[in-house]
Amino acid sequence: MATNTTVVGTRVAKPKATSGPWREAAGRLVKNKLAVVGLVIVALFLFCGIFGPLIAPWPYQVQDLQAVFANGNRPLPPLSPNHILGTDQLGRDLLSRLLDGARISVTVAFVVQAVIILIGVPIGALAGWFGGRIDNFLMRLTDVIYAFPDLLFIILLSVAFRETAFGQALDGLFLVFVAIGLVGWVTVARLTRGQLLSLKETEFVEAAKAIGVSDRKIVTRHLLPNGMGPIIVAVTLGIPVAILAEATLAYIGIGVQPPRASWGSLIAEGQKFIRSEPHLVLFPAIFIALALIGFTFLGDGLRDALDPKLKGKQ
Amino acid sequence: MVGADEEISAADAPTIVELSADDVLRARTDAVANAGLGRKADHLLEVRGLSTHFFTPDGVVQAVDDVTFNVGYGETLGLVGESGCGKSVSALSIARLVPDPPGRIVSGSILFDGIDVLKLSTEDMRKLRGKEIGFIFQDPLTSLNPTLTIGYQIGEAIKEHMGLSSKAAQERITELLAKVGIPRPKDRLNDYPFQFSGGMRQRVMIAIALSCDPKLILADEPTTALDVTIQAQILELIQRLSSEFGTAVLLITHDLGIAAGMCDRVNVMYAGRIVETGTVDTLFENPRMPYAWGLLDSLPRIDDVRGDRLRTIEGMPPLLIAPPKACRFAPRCDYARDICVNSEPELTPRAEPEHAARCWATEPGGWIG
Repeated sequence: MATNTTVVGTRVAKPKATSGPWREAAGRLVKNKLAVVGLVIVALFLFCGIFGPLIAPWPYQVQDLQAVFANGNRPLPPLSPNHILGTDQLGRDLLSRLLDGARISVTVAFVVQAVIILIGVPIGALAGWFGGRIDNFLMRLTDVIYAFPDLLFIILLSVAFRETAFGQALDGLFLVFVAIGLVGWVTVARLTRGQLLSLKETEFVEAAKAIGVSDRKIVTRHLLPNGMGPIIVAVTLGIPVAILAEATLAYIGIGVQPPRASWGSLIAEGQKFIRSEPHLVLFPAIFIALALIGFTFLGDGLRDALDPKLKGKQ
Repeated sequence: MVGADEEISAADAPTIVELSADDVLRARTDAVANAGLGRKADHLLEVRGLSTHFFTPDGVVQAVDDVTFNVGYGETLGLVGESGCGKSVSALSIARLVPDPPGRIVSGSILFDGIDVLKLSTEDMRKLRGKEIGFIFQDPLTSLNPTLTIGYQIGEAIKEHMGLSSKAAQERITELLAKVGIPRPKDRLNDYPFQFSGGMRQRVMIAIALSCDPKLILADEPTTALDVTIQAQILELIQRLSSEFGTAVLLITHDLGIAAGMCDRVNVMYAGRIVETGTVDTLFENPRMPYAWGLLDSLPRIDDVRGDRLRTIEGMPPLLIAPPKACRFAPRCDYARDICVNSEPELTPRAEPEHAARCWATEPGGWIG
């Protein structure tokens, strides 16, 4: 046994797997506890949004009228048989409706951000890259949008198009997405412009120009990936804003139409019984709050992970 | 041309850091002789009366003022001078990379291989950059994009200009990396710049500059950001590869030692103008302009006494906003007389061939013989 003198360490070390800046950022992200909490909440939220109807005990529109009748025509309280979170006055299962609401919120979160990116990034990139008159024009345009009252604009748009095919698409949700996106791209556009303004002065851009890379490629391959960090953060932090905006609109009756349930409209319906049946307001409120906290934690974590120099300075 | 390449690399390959001066000279002479095949003009690069000005709120800065010089096919021309003398701006002007605004080429012409660069459309100019004119920047730490792999960045010009299939491009990238002396080039294609040291990154920059076999490389202080040992390796690499490919080099440096070792001819620039030009030998043996003396004199010497102060040229280069009609070096010159501050000397020939200086004192009949 003592002769067991295997020589170790003579093997040439295998070259380390290439790790780009993105992987490094991911490493920093998972070390941040709050960000991981946010990530878990966001993952749960996504799971509910995508698979909600499959795991929901009831379809969201089915009424358990017998149970409500047996309860004296009152909404069932939480922990009732068959209805863990109770029902509303019409006997619809609250958990199932919350899960359907999650689906709406997830769709809102991502479609709105997609609209924002599709409008904001190109406008910001054009303004930042070309500068001069184009920059001036585009930035004044964003100023106008920024100064316009968001809610008023969304309501006007919703009311104006409510009866058209555009307004009816996706149970009326499509209109809400577009409306929220149309007022929301301003921040991302300004951010993208700022990133490009500072990045286009860097030497690697000059070096890219010096080897004849086209403008389009310099912007898309060199500038945007380098400026992506803050944009990703802004988009992540924009998701709770969009969710909240949709909930607000649903609360005042714009957007998703019954019998579909958005978290906002659930609160609106539930507040009629807020004294006797507070759970009808409480649970949707908790869901909204959790989703907002999750995305906010994740966004903050992303900011620290993507820009380590910034950490601790804010 | 191919045959000559092989000959040169065979003679040149074993010497990695220390080249004998004869080897270099021979390789260079061969390369220069061959580089002109298919030439379309007498010189690869002819800069005539180039003036590049910067329009700032304080006034017009005449960063490059009426500069004229040639670079022959396969030749290495040095451009030396202090900071702010217009060396870099000259190089940027040739590639039309002067930031506009505030900078603008206000007059002059630049003929590159018979093409009038200043008359090209933006798109044609873009096609010239990287393909015919390579650029090596001063600071390899900031000249590479941190979010893209080395392989992508070297391949960028190749894809843009050569239209190779991605497999052929990949092979060429690997070959280039090997040429500039990166070990295990295949494994490093997908690495990011932060995984390379400064010297390695400058090698990558050289690979990028050479990626499309350019006729001219503009090397803007290629070794200033590197330490001395790496500096020697990088310079040797530039010299070896430019000989091998028959590439002309415009080498910008403030280090006269580098210029002496690398260049065929040297232009000394001061305050936006060329003040002396000549072959390396004549210029270093017999400089005819007090500024060039000052530069040469301020080099530390091996026989300097320890503890002595290093010699400097007193004062600062003048501001280039509305410079007076006078010798621009006169305020710092020990030999200046009335004529120096009253009228500006021209760049006039001196005794040796190809030697010219801008100085009243060393003109025939001047007060310095």
